[in-house]
Amino acid sequence: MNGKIMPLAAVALAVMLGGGIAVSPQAQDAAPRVLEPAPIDWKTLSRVYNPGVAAKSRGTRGLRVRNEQVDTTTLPILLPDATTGVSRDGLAFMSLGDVYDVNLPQPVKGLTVLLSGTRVFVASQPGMFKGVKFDQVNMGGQPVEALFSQTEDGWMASFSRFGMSYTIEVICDADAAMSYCADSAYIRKIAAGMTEVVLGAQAEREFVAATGGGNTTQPPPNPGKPTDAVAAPVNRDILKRQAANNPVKP
Amino acid sequence: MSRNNSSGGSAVIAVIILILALGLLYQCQGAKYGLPVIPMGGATSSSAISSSTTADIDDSEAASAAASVESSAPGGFTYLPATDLMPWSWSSSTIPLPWSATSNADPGYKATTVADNWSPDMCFPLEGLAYANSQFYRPGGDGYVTAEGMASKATYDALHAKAYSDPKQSGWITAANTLRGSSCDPTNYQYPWRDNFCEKRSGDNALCHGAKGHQGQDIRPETCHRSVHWAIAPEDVVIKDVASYTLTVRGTKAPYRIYRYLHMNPEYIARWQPLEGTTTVVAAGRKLGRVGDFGPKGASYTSVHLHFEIRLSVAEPVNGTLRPVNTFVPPYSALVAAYQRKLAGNACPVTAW
Ligand SMILES: [Zn+2]
Repeated sequence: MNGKIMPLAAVALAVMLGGGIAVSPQAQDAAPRVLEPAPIDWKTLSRVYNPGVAAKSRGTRGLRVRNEQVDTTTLPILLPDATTGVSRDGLAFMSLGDVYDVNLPQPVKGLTVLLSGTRVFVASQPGMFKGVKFDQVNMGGQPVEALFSQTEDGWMASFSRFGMSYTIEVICDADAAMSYCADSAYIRKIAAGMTEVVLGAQAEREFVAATGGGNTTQPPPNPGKPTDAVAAPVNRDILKRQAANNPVKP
Repeated sequence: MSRNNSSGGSAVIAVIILILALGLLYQCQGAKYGLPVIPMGGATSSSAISSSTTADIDDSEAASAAASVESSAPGGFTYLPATDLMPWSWSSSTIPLPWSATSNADPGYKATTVADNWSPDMCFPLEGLAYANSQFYRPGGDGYVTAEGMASKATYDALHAKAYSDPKQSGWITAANTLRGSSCDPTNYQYPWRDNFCEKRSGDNALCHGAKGHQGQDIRPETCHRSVHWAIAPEDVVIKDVASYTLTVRGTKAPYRIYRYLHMNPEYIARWQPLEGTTTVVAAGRKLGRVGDFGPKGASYTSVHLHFEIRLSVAEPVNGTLRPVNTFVPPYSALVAAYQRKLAGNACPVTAW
């Protein structure tokens, strides 16, 4: 047709490009359903919860000054351990009860690590994440499914533990920080080290009530398979290589 | 919320015409080039469809096509349906040049993605009029080429190669950039709105085909001027993070949505620092800062626009238990509804800076 387009096509094009096509009725006004706060799997938590580590973590800057906010947080708070190399010097903690946020500016210009946890979910249509590739992360010896996503300005990792939803985000928005977001190595290292668990006063009471207080001073020697573990095999060689990747700087 | 239900019949006709036309186009143009249609015209054109490849479409035809659709919305607001992306924005070519190998086999949204209203009571996040559309595949964007650029692959390649052979030669970059047109092109500041969640981008998005795609909705403010138009708090929020050009806030009520505002003027959003010590609840409708074109290297990183994201923990049953995933969700339907409320005068009052 030598580059000529039929008038019919022209009209369709006009509609497609410039015209205000009428929208066909869709479920646009429908709103996905907000679920009740999810129950916490205290039993699984009891296998990894270490009050000694928790007390030390509570004492860190930020958590300490926001003690009342820690105490009203109803879900377990997860923090990156020392193997991650994440600095807590500028830590800011904020809680709305069933959801919390931790802001960790790093001593590199433009590098920030954000953490959050929530027990409030929105129901999705079954299959919304069908075919999505979740990775296995060895989180302090526990295999945990995580979804890593490269974002406009960094990386995000989403994973679930104890029935809750947790997120790690790395933001790189200045030259000095860019190497931390060039690939997923840095956020994967943080994910692997999300092993410090802190409970606020209310959560601690619920935990004791649910587990009888138990002997939780030390993790049991053979913790068994936690309920949030995934049976898929873990590539130990990769994990070893990652563990050998200290220090964190890419 | 009222929709343009009265024009449902014309929508059906338009869709049929569209399907026919795309088939024809693909045969006529696609065989020659790849994917057929490029919205050319550049800054001097009053219509995105007057161009050399669409030479036999004139403006009056475009106008009649537009006029055939009635809109009762205040201010003449019209919008294309959620999930309906610009055709080439999901092609396999990043820059939809006619000589690029392209394929339209990978549409943006996954079929299972719910494009419902993920924030039904949201305040519209910009003051003034706004134009939600692609920044990348419209004039001024990296995925757009003007008629001049389209006319000759050799010219385009030469300018592009020269520009990127030595990026320090800003004049060369500028010369190459002229082939992308201007982001201030009036066609960028017209209705209808168009969804660009899942538009082809390098970032990951589990809700898009191939698990890649744009993670929010791009919205141009009323004009293309940097640091003039205000971004607005979408609901009562607390500040989650202030980065160099990005503001992240969290709704204070369940489901505690996260909203991200990108390309903001750093000097304005800096006011929300420091985060430590107090939890400040910022009321819905409050001015958050001025919208710009800022990125990791400062101004002029992109077009003047707000990249607006909504994130949520979305849970689906997997093997009898709920598996929550913190994910970007499509903001388009929430934005359409919020904008309609705003145009109808039911918007959240904007409060002082
Ligand atoms: Zn964007």
